[in-house]
Amino acid sequence: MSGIEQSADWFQAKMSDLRSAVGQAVVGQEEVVEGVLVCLAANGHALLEGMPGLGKTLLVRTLAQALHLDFSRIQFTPDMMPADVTGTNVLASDTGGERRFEFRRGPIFSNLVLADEVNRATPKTQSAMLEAMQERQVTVGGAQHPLPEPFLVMATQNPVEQEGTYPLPEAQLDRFFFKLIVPYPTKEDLAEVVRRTTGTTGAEVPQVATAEDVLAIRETVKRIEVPSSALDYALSLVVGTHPEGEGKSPAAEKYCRYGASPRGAQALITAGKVFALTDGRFHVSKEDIKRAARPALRHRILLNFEAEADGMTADAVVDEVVAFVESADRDPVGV
Amino acid sequence: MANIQEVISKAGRRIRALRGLRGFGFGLFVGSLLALAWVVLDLAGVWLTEWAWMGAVVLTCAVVGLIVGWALPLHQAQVARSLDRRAGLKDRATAALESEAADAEVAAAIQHEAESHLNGLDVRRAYPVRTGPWPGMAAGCLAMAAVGFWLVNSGVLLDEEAQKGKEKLEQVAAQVERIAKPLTEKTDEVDPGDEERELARQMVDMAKKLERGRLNEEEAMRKAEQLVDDGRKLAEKRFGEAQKQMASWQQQMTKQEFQKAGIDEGKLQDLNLTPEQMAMVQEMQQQAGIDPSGMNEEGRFDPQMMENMGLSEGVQELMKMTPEEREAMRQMIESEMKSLADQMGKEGLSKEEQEALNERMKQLQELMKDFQLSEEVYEAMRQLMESETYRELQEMMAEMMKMQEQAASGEKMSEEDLAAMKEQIKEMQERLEEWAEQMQDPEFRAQVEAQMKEMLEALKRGELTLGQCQACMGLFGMNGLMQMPGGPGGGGMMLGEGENRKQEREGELAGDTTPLSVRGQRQDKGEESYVEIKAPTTVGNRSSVPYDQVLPKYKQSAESAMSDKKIPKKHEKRVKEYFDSLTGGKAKAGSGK
Repeated sequence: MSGIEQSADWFQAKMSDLRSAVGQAVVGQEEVVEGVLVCLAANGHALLEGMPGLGKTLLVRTLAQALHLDFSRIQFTPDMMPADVTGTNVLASDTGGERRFEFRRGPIFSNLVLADEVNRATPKTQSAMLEAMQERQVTVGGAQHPLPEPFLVMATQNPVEQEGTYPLPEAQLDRFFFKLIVPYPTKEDLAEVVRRTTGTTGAEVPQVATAEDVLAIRETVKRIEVPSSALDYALSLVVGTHPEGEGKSPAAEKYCRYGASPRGAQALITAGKVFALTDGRFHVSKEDIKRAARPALRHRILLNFEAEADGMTADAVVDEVVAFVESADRDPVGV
Repeated sequence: MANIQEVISKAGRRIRALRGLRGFGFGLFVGSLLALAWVVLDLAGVWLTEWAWMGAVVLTCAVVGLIVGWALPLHQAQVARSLDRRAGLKDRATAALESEAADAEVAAAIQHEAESHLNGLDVRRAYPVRTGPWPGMAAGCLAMAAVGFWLVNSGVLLDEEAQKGKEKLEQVAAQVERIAKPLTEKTDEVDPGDEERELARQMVDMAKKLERGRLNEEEAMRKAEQLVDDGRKLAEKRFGEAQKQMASWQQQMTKQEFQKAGIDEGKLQDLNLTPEQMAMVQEMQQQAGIDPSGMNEEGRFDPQMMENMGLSEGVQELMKMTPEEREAMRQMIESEMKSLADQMGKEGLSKEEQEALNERMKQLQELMKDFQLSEEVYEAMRQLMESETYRELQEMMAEMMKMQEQAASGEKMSEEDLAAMKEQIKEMQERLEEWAEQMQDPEFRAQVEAQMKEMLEALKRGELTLGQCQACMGLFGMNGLMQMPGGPGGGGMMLGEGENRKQEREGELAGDTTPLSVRGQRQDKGEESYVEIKAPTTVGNRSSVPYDQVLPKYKQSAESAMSDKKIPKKHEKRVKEYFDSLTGGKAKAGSGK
């Protein structure tokens, strides 16, 4: 067995272990768990949208425990300042009585950061955090402070109670690798949640991986090949979300104000690599891309008024774009 | 474990086969559509067809479709992508094919992983045989074409009367086709020209229409007349070309003989009698008892030959005389000159008389000079006449003339005649070639060889035209419609004016068809007029006049034409021979001159 094959096996084992570990605390929500793990493996940040109390915080905390990584939670409020996120220079005196400014790290300096209700913070604060997410460093007082690796932000936002909130601008939404929708649990899952949380025994989350393992996972993912057919498919999806230009889909032309950016194509391919490796393959397939389409594109397209009037969601538009691209992707030999 | 390349190649072959099959189906459909369109054209009378041709079109289209389908470009990447889709391989084949670009370890892993999935893959299951909708549509079109063809050509749609005559029409059609066939086939001896082919095509077309009951009697007659006219014109044209070549060659040969005898063109030009000299010659001929009317007898020079040489009328008169007559003529001139000399020697002649005698003597001396020169020419011509090749050529020309006259008069050339003619042409060709080899002057030899080739080609064309004449003659004698010579009730001929003459034969008298004939004329502007004649005959089932009853009338017309000088003098002999041959030599063309 070659090195890459061993790495793939190890990757699959690790991902399976992580899934199991998270499953010890989080009931159901397989799709969200899978999405978060993909973001972890793809070195991307996740935006989770769901009603309060659905286990978003628990998920991130459990993941941190399973990985034995630093974890911090920031509860965003309108009065929160950027320094509350990134940290600030404070005046301090040493043992000799000499005074100087010392950088005190904010909560963002963790491996896993849960930015709870990120849309409640002011744009200024949001920008500070999103800049740190993109640059993976914080600049305070002219000094740069790199964030730890691995670094993963999982922001949440509440789809209700929109009053007094500051919806994330499109440019900043684009910096999230995936947008995951956290659904209500099923009746069976809810029963299990109640059973676990109202009893005497709490869930024990085993540590199944380390920070080094996460970095190794990311290196393995990078080696996965992308055949031309899969790349073409991914690019067709991204172009298909554009309301204008060659390759636009009818749905995008009708319902989209703006389509996905190149980051969308990057997210599709990278997520496809993770899915391929999870599936035991060393190349990305169109099925992998298709699987990544919703979480990778739903927050990257901006719907117009007509979509709202017609009750079209971003997911529905993405589905139509996928259907459009698949209809054009015919058997090349035609027999 | 399955090799990627092998699997892709296997799938490629399968795809090509399926494409070929689909192409075959599509071609079949296109061919069927063409066949259907052809049937529609057939129905409209625009383009007649046959089962075999329709089948050939359908099959050809199908085969072309098969070949095109099989030969369409097919790349490995296409096959790989298709295979991924068909076999649910999740792009494994494509990735394996493109993995060379990746790092070696990953490429090997991709190959290994793809091969493990391709192992046991059944390409036939991935690419099942699907013919598509084309064969079904083709079958539908073919069925419609077949039904249409059967309906319009089987005679089902014909009325009762038309169906009764269909059998006879089919017989006639078969005969017409048989006659037209040689005109369309190229052999070693015969290469039909475009005009011959066109004529044959029209004949075949007509035969098909007759066979399928698509022409009624009137239309058939009209068409037959037109074809006869076309055939006759073509025959005349070909004979004209052959004659021109013959004459040209004759001239060349004559020049050669004259050059051998030391007579150049200048001398021949000098040998041009003045009107006075002509009068003197005629006077002396009378005195010598030479009958000018008997100059066309055997042993004398052919007028055509002299015409071709460019000899003036007066000189031709000199050439027509036999050696004995020439000697008598010489003696007459010498005697006249002696007599004049005696008169001039006498005394007491007035000045005017002296001058008149001198003038007469001068004319006689000129005449004597020309006469002597004519003797040289005569000798050269005599030698030319003695040349075996030239004689053969003359005979050939006469034979050709006879054939032309036969064709023009509608006589059918027998198989023996045709064989004899072919043999003659062959023999003539050999002799001419021998003669050409004997010629010493390379330039002249090349020229004559070229002339000979042209002439032989013209002869061949002339022979072909005889075939057309046969066909045309056959068209004439149709049993009230068209009966071919040699066929039941054959033996008739049709003239350009639309008059119908019948050579009587016993078998013809027992026919039972409705007698009918059409006499028509087409004007330059395309207007047509015709007179339809329908009448019972007293001698049989057709309107006919016995041959020997109309011949005297035509002969009388010819004689009056000759006496009125409507026929060129040089053709008078031919007219006379023609009527002699028709009457079997019983009648003499007494007023031939």
